[in-house]
Amino acid sequence: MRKKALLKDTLCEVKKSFGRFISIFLIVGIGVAFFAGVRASVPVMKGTADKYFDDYNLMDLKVMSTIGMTREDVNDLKKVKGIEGVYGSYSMDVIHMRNNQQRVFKLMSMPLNPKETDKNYINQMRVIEGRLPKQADECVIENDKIHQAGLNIGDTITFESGTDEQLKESLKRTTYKIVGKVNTPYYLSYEKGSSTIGSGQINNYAVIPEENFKSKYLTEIYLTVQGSKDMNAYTDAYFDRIKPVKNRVTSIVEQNVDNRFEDIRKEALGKIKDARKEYDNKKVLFDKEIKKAEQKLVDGKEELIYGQRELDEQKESIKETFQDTKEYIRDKERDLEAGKREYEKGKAFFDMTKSEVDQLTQRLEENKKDLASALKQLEKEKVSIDEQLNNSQLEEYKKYYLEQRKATIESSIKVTNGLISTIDYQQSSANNKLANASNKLDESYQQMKDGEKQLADAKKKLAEGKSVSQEELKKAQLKIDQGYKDLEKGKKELAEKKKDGLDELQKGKEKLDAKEQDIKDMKAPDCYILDRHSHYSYMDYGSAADRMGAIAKVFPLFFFLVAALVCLTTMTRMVDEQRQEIGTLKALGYTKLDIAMKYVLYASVASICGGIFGAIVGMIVFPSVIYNAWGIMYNMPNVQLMPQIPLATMAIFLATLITVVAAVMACYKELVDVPSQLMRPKPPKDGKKILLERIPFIWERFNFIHKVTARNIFRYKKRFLMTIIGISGCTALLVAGFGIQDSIGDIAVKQYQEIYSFDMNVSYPADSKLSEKEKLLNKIKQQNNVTEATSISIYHGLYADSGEDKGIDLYVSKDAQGFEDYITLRERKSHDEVALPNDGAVITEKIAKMKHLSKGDTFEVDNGDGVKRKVKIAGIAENYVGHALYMTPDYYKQVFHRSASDTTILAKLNDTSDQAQNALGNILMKEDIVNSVVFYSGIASSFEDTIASLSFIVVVLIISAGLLAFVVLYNLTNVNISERLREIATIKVLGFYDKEVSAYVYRENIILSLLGSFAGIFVGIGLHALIMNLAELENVMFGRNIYGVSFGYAMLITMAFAILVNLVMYRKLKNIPMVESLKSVE
Amino acid sequence: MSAYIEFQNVKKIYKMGEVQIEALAGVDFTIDQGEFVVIAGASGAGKSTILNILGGMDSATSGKIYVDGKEISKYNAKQLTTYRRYDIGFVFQFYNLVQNLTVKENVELATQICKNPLDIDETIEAVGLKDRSKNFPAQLSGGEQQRVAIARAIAKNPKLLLCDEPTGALDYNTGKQILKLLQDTCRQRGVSVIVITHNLALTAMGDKVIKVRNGKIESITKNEHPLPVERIEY
Repeated sequence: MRKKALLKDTLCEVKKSFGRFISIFLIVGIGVAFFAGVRASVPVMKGTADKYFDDYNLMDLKVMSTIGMTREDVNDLKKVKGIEGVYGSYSMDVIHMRNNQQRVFKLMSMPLNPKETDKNYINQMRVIEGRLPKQADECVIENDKIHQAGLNIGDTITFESGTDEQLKESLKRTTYKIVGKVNTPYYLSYEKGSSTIGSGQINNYAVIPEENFKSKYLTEIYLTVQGSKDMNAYTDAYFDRIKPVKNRVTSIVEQNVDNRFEDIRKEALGKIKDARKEYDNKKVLFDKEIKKAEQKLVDGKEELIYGQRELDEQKESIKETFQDTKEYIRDKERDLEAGKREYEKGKAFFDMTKSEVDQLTQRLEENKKDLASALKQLEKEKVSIDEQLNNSQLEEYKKYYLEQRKATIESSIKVTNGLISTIDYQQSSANNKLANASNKLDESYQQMKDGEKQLADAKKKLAEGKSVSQEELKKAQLKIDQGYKDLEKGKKELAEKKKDGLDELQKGKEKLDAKEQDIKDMKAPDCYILDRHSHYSYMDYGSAADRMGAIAKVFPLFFFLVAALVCLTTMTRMVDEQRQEIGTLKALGYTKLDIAMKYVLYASVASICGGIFGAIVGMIVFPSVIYNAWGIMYNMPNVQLMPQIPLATMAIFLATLITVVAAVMACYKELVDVPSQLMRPKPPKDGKKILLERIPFIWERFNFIHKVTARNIFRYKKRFLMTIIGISGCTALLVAGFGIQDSIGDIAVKQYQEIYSFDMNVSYPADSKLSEKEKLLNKIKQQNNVTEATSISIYHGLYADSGEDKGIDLYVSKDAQGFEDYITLRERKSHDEVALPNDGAVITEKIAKMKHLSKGDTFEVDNGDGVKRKVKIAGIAENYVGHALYMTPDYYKQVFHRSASDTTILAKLNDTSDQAQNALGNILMKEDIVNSVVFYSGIASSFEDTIASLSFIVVVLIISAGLLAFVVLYNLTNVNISERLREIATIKVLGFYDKEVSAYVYRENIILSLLGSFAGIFVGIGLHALIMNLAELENVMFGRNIYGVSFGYAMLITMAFAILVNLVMYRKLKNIPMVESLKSVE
Repeated sequence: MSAYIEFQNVKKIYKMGEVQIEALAGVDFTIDQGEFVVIAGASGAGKSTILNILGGMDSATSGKIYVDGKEISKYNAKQLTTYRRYDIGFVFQFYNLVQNLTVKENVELATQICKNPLDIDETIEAVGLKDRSKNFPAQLSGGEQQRVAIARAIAKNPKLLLCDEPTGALDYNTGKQILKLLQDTCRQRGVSVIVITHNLALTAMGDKVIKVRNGKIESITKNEHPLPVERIEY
């Protein structure tokens, strides 16, 4: 009966003081919603993941060894007790070129046309779009929400190996048709691990039918364990189930692998030997070739020298010939002179002879004439004689005489004839003589003419010869000069060739040495039997959920603390108001417990109702929001909400407990009073001097309204505390929210503008020819858009992190000068430069923090060759995205026993617009050796996009902050008004206008809000640091800074909330009846 | 010459759900300037309603009320506030001091908002609390607190001093001291003082005594020779 009456009373009380009930209801609701909601999101995250794992048959165990796996291993493993399914899988990293950029794909195998129910079809694909491959030349690719890369279903995709080896050697075909887009539980996050090719990071994955892989070795074997799906994968029970099976698998695999190791080692060493032989051959060949080429050069030079000498000789001889010819001409001239003289002489002689002969001829003619006439006479006489003789009558004497006479005449004729013939002879001999002379003269004339002609010829020949030989000589000289030039060029070429060749040989040798060293170092093959502890996506997602859990532990505390304070003040006020009733009940004989029950019941009803409401709303809203928020970073199926009754019960119970304790505390003091005391009005809480009054300097400046406010603020400690905590919580949430934006939003600017001063990164294989690298650097430097460029080496190294290899970039500077102004190595806070010494490396901050490294420690890193080597840490540099190790070439050589060869050109650009960059990218991608061209403005903006999606946190925080502020201020004002009803009514009676009345009341609220939000700034800084630590991604370091303006915003928004509450309450204040002032004190 | 304060057929009806309660059923009276008026009646007779309406804390349902020639029954809420602010001094049964203010500050609370306040220190001295001006109400006795309340009311320099059972919570001697203070104030400053009481013994000291009963005026008596407080016994 009593209880029934009390219950009825309580319910009536609820109706009567609905505002009070609501404020408890709300704050408990909010508290429980946050507590249960945020906490519930961790199991929801894990549970949804577990279901995803089970639905798509995620592997429980993964078996690998350094020497690969075989089909025999698969068969052996199928027989192991406790194993459910086994799949021998191939995978490799390949490159797909798209839009001037290399994207590294993880190429994985899957059975063709698998059945979902096949227990051996492990790590199944969740088809988002399209279908799975039905033919060997089809593939599916990752459904990547962020980097779609323009690949669509129906496109073909071509892969390259990214190494020297042709991809055809490992795959049957390199071009596939995309038939679907998938997700897989094997890769939940966008982080798919590191690679030794391309950019060093796996960007996407693609899945092809397994028959495309040529290798006889499997890359890994995936196993599932019987009964493991019955367990939540994120529980110990799951691992307990896995462990015995894992042990059995381990022993079998180790045995198998050991057996195979010896063969392989032998084979490998044999291969090295062959390679060494090949190297030696190559070296000999190279040396020979170089020697030959050198000999050729020497020969060529000798030939040239000889040619020159010959030419000189020729010159000399031509000169001599000219000399001879000239002398000859001179002789000839002399001869000609002599001939002329002789001719002159001959002519004179001839003339003389002629005149002599002429004279003689004349004389002879005369003589002849004489003789002829004499003869004629004689003839005549003879004729006359003959006639006389012929005349027979002639006397004998006369005849005789005549005879005589005739004889005489005849002899005279004879003589005369003789004389005449003598003269004729004489004449002819003279003529002869003359003819002789004439002949002789002619001869000498002819001789002279000939000489002249000869001389002219000689002279002409000399002239001709001179011009011809001069030209020839010139030509010859030119040829020789050209020869020298060619020789110089040849020398240069040879030097270059030698440099390239030596470099290549050196590299080859180093590679061989390293390989041999590696094989020698390779003690025994390592077997990896990895459970999900070593599965990146599983662990990564689990740790994300755990981080969320850590936040869930801290976050709702605020709300619970505030809820407790709100309840305490509310209940205290309620009890105060009902003193008389308590007194009456007590006087009537009710026990303390009975009386307290009313308030406990009131508080409980409010809390339980609020709690249930909060739990329902919170456990639907928060897990969904949080799950979807993480979903930005993970590829996950839709959220699976699950009722978590124990959690909800606990949250409601806790909240109720708190309010009940508050209620008991509130009425305890009243209950111990005697009824008579209670029946009397409670003396109002005494006015007290406050600390501030002891500082007259300030106090005297206050007008009395300020004084009232100041005293009121310090008069009600609980309310003060509640408001300060609540409002500071509100501001803290806002500061944290804006701070998150500041810290994260800053990264891109700091990383890509302050730390990296370059705009473009052009990478090429380390083993490209030196001359080509130089050519490329020169070409880049010549581009208009490029202001500066330099080459450095970037290796994609690995380090071990809890059994798994993770990526770290090794930056090796060109020389001991370091990275100059391309990469700024500095300390984060002081911005002091971090020096790059020759006996140690500088490491980036995030990884240093993760691995607890400080200056002087050593760090084991693998430069991509498979062997971890110790690096001494000489400094820690500010960095936000990725991990890097900076070193000088000397130190690199010291550590890795080989010299670094450059792989990358860093360049600064004038114009970083998309157009200018595309143009430059297109030019550079035409160069054969260029692997990729990366522009950082693009990276910076895509990074900003990713991070911008985190701004949901800010929204959640602002809403939470608003709720917190509203509930606290509403309650504060509510209590304030109801407690000071008389006071307010009195000042109204005194003639205060409404505005003055509200100012009188609200001034306190505003000042408390200001104080609270001021305190909230400090709480916010702490909360921000906490959230940043918990939410930080593994390879990104968030900033820790909050801008001044964010504090301003946080305070402004808090004050806006305060003002909003005040406005809502203004109406209530206005409606306070003045008659209240006339009532007696209750 | 019309009266300083005049009630003409003032009615006040409260609605409590369906039921209408007539607190004042047509009240007429006048009060002159500087008069000391005692309004007496039993509990629930309607005297407090008269005070509330006269003090501008409540408005009449019908009828007219003039104060110093102004018809305050027509005032809206804001005008009523202004009226309270400048024209009315109020002394409550339970003093209604602001606990968090010292004596002086409580007086200041009132003087800060009016036009021609009296000197605060003098007023406090006048009510005999010079030495306690820096004390908080809780440190004072009931009579002292009521004197602070009177000081607060007087310091506003009001036209009208309304006192609701000023001695109700006080013992006999203290009550007398308070009444003396009120009477002196009326005589010395020429302020109209209206005291509401259920104690008929106090009627002897009023210049005018208005008796109220069941929401109506029972009688209005002019007292040609009011007794000084000292001689009243109750």
